[in-house]
Amino acid sequence: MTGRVSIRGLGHRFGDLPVLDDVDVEVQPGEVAALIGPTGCGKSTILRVLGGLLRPTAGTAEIDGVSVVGTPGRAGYMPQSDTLMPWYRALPNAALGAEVRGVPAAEARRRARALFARFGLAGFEDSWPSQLSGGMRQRVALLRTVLTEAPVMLLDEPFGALDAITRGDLQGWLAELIAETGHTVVLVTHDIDEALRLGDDVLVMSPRPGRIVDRVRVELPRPRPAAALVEPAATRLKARVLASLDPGDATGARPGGQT
Amino acid sequence: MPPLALLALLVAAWEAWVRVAGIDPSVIPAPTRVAAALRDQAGPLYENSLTTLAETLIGLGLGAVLGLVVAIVIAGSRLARSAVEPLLVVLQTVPPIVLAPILVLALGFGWAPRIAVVTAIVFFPVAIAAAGAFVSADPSRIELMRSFGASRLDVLRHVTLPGAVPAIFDGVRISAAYAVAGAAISEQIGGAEGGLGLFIVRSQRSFRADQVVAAVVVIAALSVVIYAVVGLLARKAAPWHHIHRTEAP
Repeated sequence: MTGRVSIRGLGHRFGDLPVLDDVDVEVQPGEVAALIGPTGCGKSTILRVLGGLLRPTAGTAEIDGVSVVGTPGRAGYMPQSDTLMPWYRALPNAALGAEVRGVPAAEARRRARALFARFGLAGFEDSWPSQLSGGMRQRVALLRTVLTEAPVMLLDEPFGALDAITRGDLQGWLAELIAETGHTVVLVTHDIDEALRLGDDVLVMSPRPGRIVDRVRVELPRPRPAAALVEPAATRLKARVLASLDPGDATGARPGGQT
Repeated sequence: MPPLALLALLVAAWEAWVRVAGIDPSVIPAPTRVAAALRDQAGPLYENSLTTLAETLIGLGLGAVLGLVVAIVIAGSRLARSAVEPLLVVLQTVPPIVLAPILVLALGFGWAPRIAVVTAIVFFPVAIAAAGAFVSADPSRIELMRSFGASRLDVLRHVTLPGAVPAIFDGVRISAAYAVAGAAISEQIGGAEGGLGLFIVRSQRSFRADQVVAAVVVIAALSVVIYAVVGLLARKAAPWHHIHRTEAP
């Protein structure tokens, strides 16, 4: 199994502004790490480092033991907005990542077409992005990421722009998909339920400069439907994440030091 | 249709005014005389409009391609951009038609100076529109492409160029309205062996104001047709730009 993510001592500053400080993240192959934290804590910066898009000012970032710093294309990166190309229909949009990575266009589109139904997009191959709903656009973007065939997926608030019901549906669907494909996933979110439904680990970050203040191992059985999050085991985890997010709020459970 | 009715009304008023005031037809011809000239001179008008149309279309194509190339260079290099963009903005305020006499001197008495005038008319709007579109390309799309390991050529091909297509066609369409007139006026400056501009000059010399106006009508009609055709091409080239958002199921 490949797709081991290893970040050590990661720090970054934009000019005088420190955004990340001494961040360590280990993700085992096939596992999902959910990064959660307040806006501006540097969550997205971590993904951009792993995507090879940003050189950090300190620390190392490796996938399967090889540094990814400054080498884009090793991980499948899905940015916050769906960033579909409005000038391509759904099918060529889904195939774009594979095509840029060197798969001939016809073959990339054939692979995309074969997965359209699995992504709930059957019949929309020739639709323009502006004709798709927000949830469908996100699924096209996810398909594009999957088709890059990188073993690691970097998902930056993939469902952040969707309504709560659609988001809940897609979280369940994505969990199933990841279980099938065996991808290692680094998921950035500010939705605790999303982190608990998808994550094997939830890494809680502090406000800027972002540091990992708590690591919560999520041992809940899978699949985890939305209803599973009201079980006592889940609410305990939720309380702990909430407390770690806001240590000043003494009404929550104490942040545990153990992982 | 109200605009056509208004046009008909204006033409009728023109006809009535010329007749009632008894104006010399070699000064201002009545619309009926212009119509007669259009009919009688249909052959020469057709022949000459082919020349003008050819100059216009070649100039449009050259201007659009040159504008696009310059825009790509500007978008690709900060230095080129800082050097070229201010010049473009200043130079575009010079009406290319005033360059026609210089171009005739520089390029001789062939087709070249007339095509060059049209090229200059189209070049500036296209270069400025395309450069603007390139620079305003969504950085998150470019970053996404980089995350796939895309080269600069990939980014140009999949992001910046397609995104600029509507702006490029807007630039061509706006200048298309002036391009025919630009070709015709440069035909009057020297060296032309045909074209609507030369037809106008010859008609003036023989005091045939009706033929002059007839040629102007043809120039206007050509401009409208080219404007419309470029608009159609734009819809073909960027269909995604013209679809209406629909509610997906």
